[in-house]
Amino acid sequence: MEIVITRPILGQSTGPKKVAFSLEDDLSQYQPVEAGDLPFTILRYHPGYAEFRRMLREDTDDGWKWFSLAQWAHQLSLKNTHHKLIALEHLKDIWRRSEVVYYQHQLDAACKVVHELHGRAILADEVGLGKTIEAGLILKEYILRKLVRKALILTPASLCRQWQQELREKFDITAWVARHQYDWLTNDILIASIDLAKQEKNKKIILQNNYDLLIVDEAHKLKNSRTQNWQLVNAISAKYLLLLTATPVQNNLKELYNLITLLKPGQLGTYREFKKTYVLTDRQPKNSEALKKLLGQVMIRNRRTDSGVNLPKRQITSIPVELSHEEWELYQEITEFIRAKTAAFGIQAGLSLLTLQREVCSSPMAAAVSLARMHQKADHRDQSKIFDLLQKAVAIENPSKAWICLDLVRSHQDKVIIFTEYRATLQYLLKFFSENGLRVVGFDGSLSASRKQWVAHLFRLNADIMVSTESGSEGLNFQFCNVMINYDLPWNPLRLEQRIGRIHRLGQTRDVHVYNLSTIGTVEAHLLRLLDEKINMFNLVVGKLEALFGAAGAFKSFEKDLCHAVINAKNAQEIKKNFDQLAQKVQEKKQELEENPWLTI
Amino acid sequence: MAHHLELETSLETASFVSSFYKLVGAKVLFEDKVLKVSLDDATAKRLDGPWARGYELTFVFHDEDVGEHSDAELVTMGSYRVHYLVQQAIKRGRFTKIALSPACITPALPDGPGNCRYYQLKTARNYLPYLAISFNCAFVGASRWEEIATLAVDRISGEVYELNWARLLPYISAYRPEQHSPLQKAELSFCRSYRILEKALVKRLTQRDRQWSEKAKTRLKKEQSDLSQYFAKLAEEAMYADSKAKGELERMKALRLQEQEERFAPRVYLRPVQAALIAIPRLETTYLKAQAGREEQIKVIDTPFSRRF
Repeated sequence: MEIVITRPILGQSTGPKKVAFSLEDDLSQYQPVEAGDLPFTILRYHPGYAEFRRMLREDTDDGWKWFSLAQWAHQLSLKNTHHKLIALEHLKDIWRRSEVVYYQHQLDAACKVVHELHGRAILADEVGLGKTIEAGLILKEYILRKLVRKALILTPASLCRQWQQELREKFDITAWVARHQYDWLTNDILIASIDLAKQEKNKKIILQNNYDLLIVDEAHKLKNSRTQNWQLVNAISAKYLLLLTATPVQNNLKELYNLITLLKPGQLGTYREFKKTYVLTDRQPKNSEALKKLLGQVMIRNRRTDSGVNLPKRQITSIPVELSHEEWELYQEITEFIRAKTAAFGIQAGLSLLTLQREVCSSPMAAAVSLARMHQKADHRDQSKIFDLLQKAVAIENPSKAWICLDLVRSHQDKVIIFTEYRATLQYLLKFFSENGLRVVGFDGSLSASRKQWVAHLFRLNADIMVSTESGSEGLNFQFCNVMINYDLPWNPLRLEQRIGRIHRLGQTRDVHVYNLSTIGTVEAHLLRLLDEKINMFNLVVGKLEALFGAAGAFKSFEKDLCHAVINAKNAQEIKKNFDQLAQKVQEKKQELEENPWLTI
Repeated sequence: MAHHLELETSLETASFVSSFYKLVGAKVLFEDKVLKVSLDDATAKRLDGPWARGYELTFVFHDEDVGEHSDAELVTMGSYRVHYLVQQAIKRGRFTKIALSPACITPALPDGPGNCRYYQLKTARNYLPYLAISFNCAFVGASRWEEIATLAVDRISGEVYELNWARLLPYISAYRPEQHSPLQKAELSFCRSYRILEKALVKRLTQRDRQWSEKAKTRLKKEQSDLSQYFAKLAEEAMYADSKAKGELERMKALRLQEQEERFAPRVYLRPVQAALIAIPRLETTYLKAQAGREEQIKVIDTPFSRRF
């Protein structure tokens, strides 16, 4: 008789073990297994067997020491999953070293998207609260959890590099910026401008791909469902979708409906239902509590006041600059020249010459470059006048602004960023400051991406001053510096805010000093008076600024309105009057925003 | 308690990091809560690729220790460094040939009535060929988690056992034919053994708690029904739209349904991550059993997994 006793000594089950990460998975390599009627599918990794068979045939032996270390590695990785955000622990040291400052509201937002909203959400924090950090954290979390392998990030073209850099430096994610057609197929994490993506040849490839995650930055550009932007994003197949915008509603509630429908079709019903249930007027909702509840299921909006984020103070100082006799004469003559041309050829001709007036406020060198160009193209009647102006501009060697700027820099004994609109001014300032014994670097749009990084690095390490054109006002962050000089003023308030935002942002620990240089008696002085005194622009909350001056704000283009206000004026008094009228319009819009918070949600 | 756990975790992390670098051949020095690792050119190339050069690393393992050593890298259980080393270790330790020491078997007399006497007549030892595979099981539904299941199959009888590497650890050594013999010839091919293990794992999965999948399935059903209702209403509203628009609507519906499926459909991905050919000791003892004047010879077979009369 044979009795069999099975007494497992070592074969005890150890219960479920959770692991956080292991080898990379390619889901296309899995095949379903026949396992009867189950509420779930079982898929086996097809090449798995072959890999081990090959090792056996080749008589491979990794050795017991490595094998046991690998087992230990598996065990260790089990211990990490209790974290709600694996990415946070993963990035802890990287953030400590690169001095990334993060806030609780960012972690909460990432947690909510991953664990409650299942990866489809509108991140609608107010400007400056770090939506990019939130999106990067979510992307990293999904990558570590192996739920995302292929991701597409659509941003405005000017932000592609910034995204790439931030993902690399802050999240240790290697992403590629789409340039060639093969990029769409070969790179797993791809950043592209939405304009490039919607080109027919690229669109075709994108629509064939299945993305795990699609991130759309500046998603307010998707507010209209009839636009190509909206239709492109709607047609892309993506398991998870993040829409980033600080202003989910700019003009009317339909914009909000379109965004939500993109994210979760049916969340607000059909548009007819939405209108019937939730829309009182274009700009005012009804049943707002119910609507807010529905929005809360797909949207996260942190406000500066609730998030406890307190940026250091911003100290704005306007410094009037008195022009020398020669400079003033040049300014007057150029102004007369423009008025004469406007009178003779109409407003359009005047508008195209207005830049000259702005340039001369910046520096005679900037005006000289334009005058030289104009001289080449001008007909014989204008040539002598332009040549005369050119000679006068070239003759001015040391503009008053440069000396005042030098005094300011010296008084601070710290790193200073100087912004100018014109490359000729930049070149002049580089020469001027280095002649005066200061270490200075220049940053402008003509530099390649890697050179820009290099210049930023030099500024951080070695230089006292960085002179930059507008291209430096986007994409790079200089929290280590707290003094900025606006050598001249952009006519678009958002661009001005963008400049300030380079140093006055999360991560800045000291009070920020912003100096605006404006030449007395010129159009620049009128502009500064309008922005500072009338609109109180420097103290506006950034989100409100966007609502006021953004593409769909109160003005088709605030800059154009300003130009018209100048060109339509016959003298300085009229410019002042026209600017006051513009200020009045801005005040009215501000009032409307305050009365109807739905427009900034 | 929490602090104690934290300390234990940081000690384990330190120990793992140090073991890893020792194994790659780096010089490792643990002093005053700081681990210093120096790799020469050859080791760095082996570890990081042909472009790498020798370098030094300094690690601390607890937040509190960072202050004194601000240049050191803070390594915690979930940190980038551990993640990297875990991946490296997993890649480098995938397949091996090992043997269990006979010490893992504690021979015992067979159970029987109290008045029995057993006299040991002879013992013989040989080794059985086993194949052990560790599978990574990724459970994907509304969320995702992973488990590791290690199963071993006797390549003669085809029986399957669940393995716990941690308990085997003290008895394992590299397989040496001269030391671990005789090893019985495997009757089941590698392929057949692999399939048996895979099948056994699938069977175990079908028998375990299914609540997670039911939950995910319910969620999927609800999401898909909401979506279908929405598209039905849209179709109703677009009754007079042209066929192109209707076609586009259908396409969108299919796309969104597919996305829902990807997000919520419950599934389990199985992937083998480690394999080992194991020589398992088998002890065959012959006893003379004496009971009430009756004698008989019985054979007892001991393995780490079972005893057989």
